[in-house]
Amino acid sequence: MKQIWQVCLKDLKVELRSRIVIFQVLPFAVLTIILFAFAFEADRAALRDYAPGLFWVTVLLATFLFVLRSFSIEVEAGAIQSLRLSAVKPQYIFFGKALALFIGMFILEVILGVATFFLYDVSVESPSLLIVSAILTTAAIASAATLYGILSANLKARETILPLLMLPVLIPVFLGAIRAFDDALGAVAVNGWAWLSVLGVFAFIYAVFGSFAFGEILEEVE
Amino acid sequence: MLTSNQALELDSAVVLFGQFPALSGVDLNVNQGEIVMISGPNGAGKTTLLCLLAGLVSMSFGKGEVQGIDLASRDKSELYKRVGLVSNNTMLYEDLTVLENLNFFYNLFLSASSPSNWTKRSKAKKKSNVNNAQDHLENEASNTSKELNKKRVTSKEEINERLKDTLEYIKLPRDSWKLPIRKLSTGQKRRVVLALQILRRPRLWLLDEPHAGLDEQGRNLLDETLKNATQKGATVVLASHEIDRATQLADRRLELKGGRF
Amino acid sequence: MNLSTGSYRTKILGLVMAASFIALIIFAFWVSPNDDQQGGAVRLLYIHVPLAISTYVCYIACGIASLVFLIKKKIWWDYIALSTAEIGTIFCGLTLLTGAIWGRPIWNTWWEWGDVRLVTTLILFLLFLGYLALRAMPSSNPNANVRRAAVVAIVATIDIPIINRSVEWWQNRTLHQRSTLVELKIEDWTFFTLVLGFLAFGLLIIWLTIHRFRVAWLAGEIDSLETELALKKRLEESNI
Repeated sequence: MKQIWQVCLKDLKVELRSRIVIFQVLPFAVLTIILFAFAFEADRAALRDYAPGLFWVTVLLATFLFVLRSFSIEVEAGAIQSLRLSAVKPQYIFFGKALALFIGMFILEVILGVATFFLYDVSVESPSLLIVSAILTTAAIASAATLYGILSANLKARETILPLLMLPVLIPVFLGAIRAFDDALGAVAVNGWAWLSVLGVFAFIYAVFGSFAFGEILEEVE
Repeated sequence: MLTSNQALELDSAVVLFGQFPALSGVDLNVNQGEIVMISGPNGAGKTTLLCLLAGLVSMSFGKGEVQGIDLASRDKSELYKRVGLVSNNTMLYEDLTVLENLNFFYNLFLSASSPSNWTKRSKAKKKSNVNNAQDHLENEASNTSKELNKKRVTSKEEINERLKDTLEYIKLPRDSWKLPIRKLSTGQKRRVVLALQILRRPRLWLLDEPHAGLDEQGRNLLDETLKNATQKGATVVLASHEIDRATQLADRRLELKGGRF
Repeated sequence: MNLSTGSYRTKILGLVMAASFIALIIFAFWVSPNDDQQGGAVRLLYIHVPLAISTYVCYIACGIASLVFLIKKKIWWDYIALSTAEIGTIFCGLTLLTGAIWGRPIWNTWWEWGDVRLVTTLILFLLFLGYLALRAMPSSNPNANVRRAAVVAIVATIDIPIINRSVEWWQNRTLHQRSTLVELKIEDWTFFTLVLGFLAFGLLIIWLTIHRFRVAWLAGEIDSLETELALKKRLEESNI
């Protein structure tokens, strides 16, 4: 357990030092939200209705950049080899990196959420559903993304293959997150709470499978 | 099975990268406490050999055992605890400072080496003084560290103390301790990598071109470190082009060519 | 070494398969009657439904073969996974195509978002395109690539039911023929033709998989021959 936390803290510390996510990924996400507003001709009613979907599309795009960054620090100077040589179990590395991704993504979502709140003029009807569903969604995304991150870490064309592999897999999460937010923001009359089970099951499956598969792939990373 | 004074054994080891045999049948036998130097032209397979011994690369054919651990075994963590690799890459986080890197990797190594192992090690240390520890470190921190090992706890201050001692030992200027790795010169980076291994006290040192990029002082420091380590029972395998320098140090020199000796 | 991908038995299998397809065409176009509601368009279902089911059979086989590969580490399992993934993806593309052609006269649209199976199949198609793209990538370490691909295939297969459920919940309704076999008035010849379709496509899967497997196996043999040559060359290098 301690090792998971150590790996996670290290990832967060690297981010605090390099500030790639804060200064590049986050502004990119806000920019995307603005572009969507242009695409919808700044129609307030439409933006309010589709805010959940647009928000989560933006998060998925940001996730993709986030994961690339999370694994480029590992392969840049071969630090991942030192991680392996530290005799840490691959599962702990997986959970540590996924946890760091979760924390980072969640902070990004909060900031992006505030931006969406003001720019799209949405109202929150159920803050508790909003927060719980965001946590579950982020957990699901973080565990799947960590698996795909290590999968593509060593590939030359990782920037192009990663979204092709990762985004289709995340569609169930995406749909669930949209429906939960639809309910929480009062955009569409659906039962958002029912979707939490889908998000939870997805997060669980990917956390369990990912932690085992991570070791399989880590063995072959050069 | 290795005999008690054998550090490692390879039996016609072949490592394939795709269709390319980086190692094409290596037989190697190294005794405990030996310093073996491997030379050979570029592309002879020196780096691959070191990675194989470290357990980072898997063998396609052949057999091998390092420090009593079968190279074919799936869980390599026991092997990783015993080897220290100094490679061409820094294998550190470029954005983190020297102290942060050492702190992270050393702490991770300590917590990954389970408590039971840790006590076994310190017991072994007591019984016979045949340990891989660095001489001066032992002397400086010996009393406290042994007591703490017994308690299975290594306090933060204790670790910081060890880090500082090691960094002073490798003569890294104090003002660069808080610099990110990417701002260091090549030679300084090398010293930091060396420092991490000194802290980890491996039973088997694997070094890839360790002299490259180091100044005279650094080279002497390195040689001294390795000699000290072998006196404590550790084994050293190093790949080098600097035959003169390394022959002075090494007990034995082997020529690798075309992926075998 | 026998460089052919076929054998005496596969030739017989191929002939039986070809005969069953000829029979399928005859039955689909001439023997079976028009549907009361769908008219002639129903004839497309004789290949659309077997294609769709074949797709899922191939993908599930790929997932299982990949899992066994990761456990047993025998390269044959990977060949099976690769073969079934490729064949499945071709079937999947054809399923989408025939579905769209069928949907045009019946639903009056090429694409219907309201249909769960359609959307699921499209996502699945994209998932396995990713898998094949990964496999097609040149890699300095084929061993690593094979393992990566296996993990991707397993994830994709696990995802099939999750995607299906989530799209269904998301839409909360479905347009598709609830159960094709029930809703079509099962006149004897219609039913028989559909069964014939399943048979023909079942044989096609087996026949294609055998041949694709052989191709993969031969490619593997060439690789190991090349490795042997490279090893010899390397040894010569060391003797100079």
